[in-house]
Amino acid sequence: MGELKLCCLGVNHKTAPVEVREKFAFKGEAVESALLKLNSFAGVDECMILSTCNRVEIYFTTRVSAPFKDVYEFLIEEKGASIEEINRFFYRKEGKDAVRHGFYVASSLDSMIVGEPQIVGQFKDAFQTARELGTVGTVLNRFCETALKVSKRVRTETGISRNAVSVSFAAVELARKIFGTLSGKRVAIIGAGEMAELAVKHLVSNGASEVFVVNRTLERAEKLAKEFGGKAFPLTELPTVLELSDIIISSTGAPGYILKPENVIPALEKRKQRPMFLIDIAVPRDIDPALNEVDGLYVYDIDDLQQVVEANIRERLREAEVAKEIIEGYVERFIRWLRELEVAPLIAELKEKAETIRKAELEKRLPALGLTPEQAKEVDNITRIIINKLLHQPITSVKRKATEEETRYHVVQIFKEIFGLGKE
Amino acid sequence: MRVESFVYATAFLYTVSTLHYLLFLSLRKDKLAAVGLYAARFGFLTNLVSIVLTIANSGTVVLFTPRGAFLTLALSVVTVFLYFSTKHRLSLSGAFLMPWASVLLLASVLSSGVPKDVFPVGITGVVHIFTAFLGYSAFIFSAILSVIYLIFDRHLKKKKFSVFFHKLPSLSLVESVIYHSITVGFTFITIAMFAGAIWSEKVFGSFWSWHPKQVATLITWFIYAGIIHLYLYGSWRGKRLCYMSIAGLLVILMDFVGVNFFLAKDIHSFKG
Repeated sequence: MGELKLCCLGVNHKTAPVEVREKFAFKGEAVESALLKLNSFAGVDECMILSTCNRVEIYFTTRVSAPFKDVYEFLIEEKGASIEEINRFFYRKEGKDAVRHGFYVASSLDSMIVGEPQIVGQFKDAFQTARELGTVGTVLNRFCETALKVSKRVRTETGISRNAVSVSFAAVELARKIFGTLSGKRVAIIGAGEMAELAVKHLVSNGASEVFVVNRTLERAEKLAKEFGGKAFPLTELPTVLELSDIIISSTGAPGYILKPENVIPALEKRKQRPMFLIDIAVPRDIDPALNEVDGLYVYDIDDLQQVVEANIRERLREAEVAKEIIEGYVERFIRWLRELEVAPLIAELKEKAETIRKAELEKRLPALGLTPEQAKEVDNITRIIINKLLHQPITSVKRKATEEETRYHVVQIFKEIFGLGKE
Repeated sequence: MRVESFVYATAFLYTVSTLHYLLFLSLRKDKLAAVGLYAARFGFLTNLVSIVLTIANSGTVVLFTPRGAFLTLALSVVTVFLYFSTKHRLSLSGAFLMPWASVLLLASVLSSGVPKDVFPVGITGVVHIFTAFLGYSAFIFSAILSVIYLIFDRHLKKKKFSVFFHKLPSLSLVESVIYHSITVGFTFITIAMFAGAIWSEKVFGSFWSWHPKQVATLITWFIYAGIIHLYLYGSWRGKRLCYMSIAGLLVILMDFVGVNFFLAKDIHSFKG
């Protein structure tokens, strides 16, 4: 029997175009039948399939020396794939690399948008399905539970999913950087447009309390205001609205600036210098950029929001480096556990062998000694203690040595040979 | 135990804290700020022990030695820092505050531990000394946060997404902590002034003697009373609050350096 290994064969958004990922995807019940089929292959001990729109990955444990052969065969049979296709698009990982990859995937380090939260749920579902079908055993069970634990730690201890990575959500984040909480803040939307609406939706769902809609045609304004439970105003009421609003989103089709120093600065003064956050998503722009120079006014246009998103993505990648350090510790621990697991049957066998010999010898020799029951019990105790003490050292040594990369194979072989173990 | 070893340990811990916070500023790794905070906390303890030991060894309130004065100021600065930064997760402020604590400790290491004229202290004396130091520390903290606010505000306007953008909670929170720490400082300074007057009456026979230090403190008191008033009833918020808080600290520094080092030898002077 070869070494027990965790392996992963998969395609993702980095290695294959969408049509390839689609071809290999397992949807709904197809996962279950595929798992059962895969599990029936001789070289596959335990297996699990993670299939999302960005990746298809098969995790399995095996003891054979050419671990991927059976899984290729399975894919060829199941998906009508050619070996060229598999060679071209799939990545193969085994041992430590496979464990690390799985932990990266569950922690969303391998996702298209690093830190996106969906993958945890998808990973959990994949694990659940395989567990219900009984295709995961000790190793994959431990692997998935650790992966989910790692993912949670990464999420709480690093800022990997803290910053906004969409333009409309960047507006919410900026508003938070200025005002702290959004609760009680009033949002005005001038003009209309899909992105402006989306930004308002985000702001409202994050606590903004009131929405004012200003439009050239009052009818259109009323329709939009209704959607957010807000108030509609004609364009002539703009000064009043400015005075009341903390956040202003402008996206009209007007040719020139709608918000200029002469109408915004008086509003700011009436607000007793409480800051205002102005978002300009109109092209050509609605808000005079000179307003950004005024104390207490923060003017952001569409390019600025895009910059926020880019900075946040860079920040996520920076945090991903911290996450990798956390993950590495878990990878080491998992591999150590796996290797100890491998010698566990040998150790059990050795203990059993020693106990059988001891019992046999006692049964054979005790009656001839004519001891009292107390004395016989004492002899029984002494022999057990001797054996335990004698075996303690070799057992701890082999456990320790079995986790070391260079020596482990030889040590296990020698251990087997010395004690005559593993001969089924 | 010798006082020196605790003073050196404090200097070491504050330096470690400063370095970690400065690295945090450039590398943005939260772990660095966490180490900075732990070093500041341990430093706070050794700082406290060195003050207690100084009092135990000399039998007088430590402020009568230059070393003791620096140790006490460092302790109160770090106390204010630990209180506000832990409460509001403003770890970034450590990068601006802990260097001060390190410099103060360096000054205490270099200065003499020999007591100058010792006045009867009593409870009013102790209250006067410690509330004055806590008050000044709160003002130092508010001025440093004001600098942070101004940089953060500038970065938000220039669309520069630096460590200030990513690691600070919000402008509004920084502003409210600045104001809070000014009110804390103002409360302590008020108590210090009253306690000082009572103490002065006991020692010198008069509540008020128009001593330059007293006048300077009164000016400081009026400045901060003005800041609080303008914040509450005027519209002196945001950057204006920051400018005033920084100006307030500059007045305190002039007063501190001018009175304590250049005027004739007296109770507030650090000359031995």
